Amino acid sequence: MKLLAIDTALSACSVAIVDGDTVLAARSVVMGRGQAEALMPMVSDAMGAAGLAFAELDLLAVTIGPGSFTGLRTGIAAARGLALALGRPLVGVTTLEVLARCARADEVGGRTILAVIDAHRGELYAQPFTHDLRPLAPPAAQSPAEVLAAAPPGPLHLIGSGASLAFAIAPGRCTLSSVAPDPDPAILARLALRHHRAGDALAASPLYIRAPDAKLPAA
Amino acid sequence: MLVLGIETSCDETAAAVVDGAAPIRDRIRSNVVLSQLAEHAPYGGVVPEIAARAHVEHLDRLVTQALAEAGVGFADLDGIAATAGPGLIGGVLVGLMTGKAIALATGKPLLAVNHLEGHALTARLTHDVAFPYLLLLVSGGHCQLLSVEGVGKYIRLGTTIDDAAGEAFDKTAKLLGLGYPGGPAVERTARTGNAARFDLPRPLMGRAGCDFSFSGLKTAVRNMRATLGPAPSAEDLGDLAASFQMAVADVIADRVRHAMYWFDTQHPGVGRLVVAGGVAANSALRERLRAVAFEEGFTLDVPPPKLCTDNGAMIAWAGVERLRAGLVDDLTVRARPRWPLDPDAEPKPFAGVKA
Repeated sequence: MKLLAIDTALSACSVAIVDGDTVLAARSVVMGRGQAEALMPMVSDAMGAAGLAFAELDLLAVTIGPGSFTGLRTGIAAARGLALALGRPLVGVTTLEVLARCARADEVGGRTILAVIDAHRGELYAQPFTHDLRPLAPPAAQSPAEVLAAAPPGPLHLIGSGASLAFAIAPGRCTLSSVAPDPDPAILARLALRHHRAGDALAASPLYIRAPDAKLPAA
Repeated sequence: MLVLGIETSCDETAAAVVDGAAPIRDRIRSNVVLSQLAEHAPYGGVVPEIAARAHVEHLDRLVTQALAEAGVGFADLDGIAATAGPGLIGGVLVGLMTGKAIALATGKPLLAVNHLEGHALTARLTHDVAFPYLLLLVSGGHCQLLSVEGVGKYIRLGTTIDDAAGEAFDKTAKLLGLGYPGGPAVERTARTGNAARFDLPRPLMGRAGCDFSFSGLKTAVRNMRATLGPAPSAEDLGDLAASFQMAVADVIADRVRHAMYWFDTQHPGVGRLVVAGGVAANSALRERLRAVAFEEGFTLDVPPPKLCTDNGAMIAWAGVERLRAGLVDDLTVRARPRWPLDPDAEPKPFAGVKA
């Protein structure tokens, strides 16, 4: 089963094409901004490298957040457009789950994995997972102290752009992942395929966690 | 020539299919618009983040609907047109990324359309108006006079130096407690009012050039409203709304007349005026412009209200025109919050993106 996965939720622009467990092509550039210009040429390039025509894809996947609101919509709008034009299903995967899955087993040991993304304004998007990647709580936006207080007791393995912020609160309890803080698109693609096969895939709707920044006028 | 048009630059999510080769009455094969009015109404104006969230949730369904109503599939299309600006950037990105993805997956050309060009060319979709023509573009985000010389060729003769005309309507409606959106509310309230009762200013009227200014008029409405006490009568509100609407029409008529003189010297004997944008739906303004056009010997074409407000058909049509002219875009094209039709026109510091 051939799947194209897209991620622009955080600071990278990434694409991977897999056929089952085989990675046919993967591209990832950390850019901070400019994802909307870079993404489609990157998809086109990766499809060429994979030697595939769009009609040969069976499935699409995209990270749905949490992350940058604009980044989420860039990737999701593109993925929904591709899925629509190709008539193929589209799978949504949370950034936090992909990040947890990017952690290295030898670094995790038996620890709880805490995927943490810097949400700015003094908060982290966070979600704890068991060492074998079962989620322990839903994703949340909290201060680093709240994130650590809410995490299950015991040692934590931190991964993601918010790892050092969480680490600073309780250095004795935490270890830091050596893995890059953006989702690996090949891991994203394989995770999406697994969810699709298990029938528990999420819809490709943004997971913002935060409400829009808008105040109602005073009555 | 079938083109899909996608529009997401403000608070309407829209998709349409237009057939460029068909006679006028058969051109619009479908034109689906989802207004986000209810989502923004509590805030008294468009909230960019709320708009962007709604666009990404609804756009693919609207594209499906537009294709179904047109009775065509992606393979039948000759091009994919999407608004690439100017507008609220979060929403523009959703439409442009969707358009890019469809273009890449189907191998069809992408047309990155300037939203203002969509408005500017609508009269050619609905009336086959020939180039050149004088264009009054009046909407919630813009108030400009342009000479439309050809596809992608515009000379800006004047613009607002502060508020857009539609913005003045929205703010007046808010001051008078008439609700949102302000244009239709003010027009409804003004219908029974006495436009001669309140003496409101006519900013820039009689001055040289074709620029507009509405911020002083809004202030005058606020001051006048304050004299009416805490609970003005329906008659008071009607009179003030009518006086405001009259002032706007007077100013616009004066500015349009100036633009007509310029246009006549550049294009003698042509005499074509086109009005576009949401405020063109205001019937008092349309009547006034009809009178000005008659007096100055210009023809006047105003697209139907449904095509004056934001829609996908105008984007699809601009796509048709650009495709014919070979103005195809590549997948790296950028979404632009500011994108003046006339790149040589000087910016107006207090109007920002509106100019």
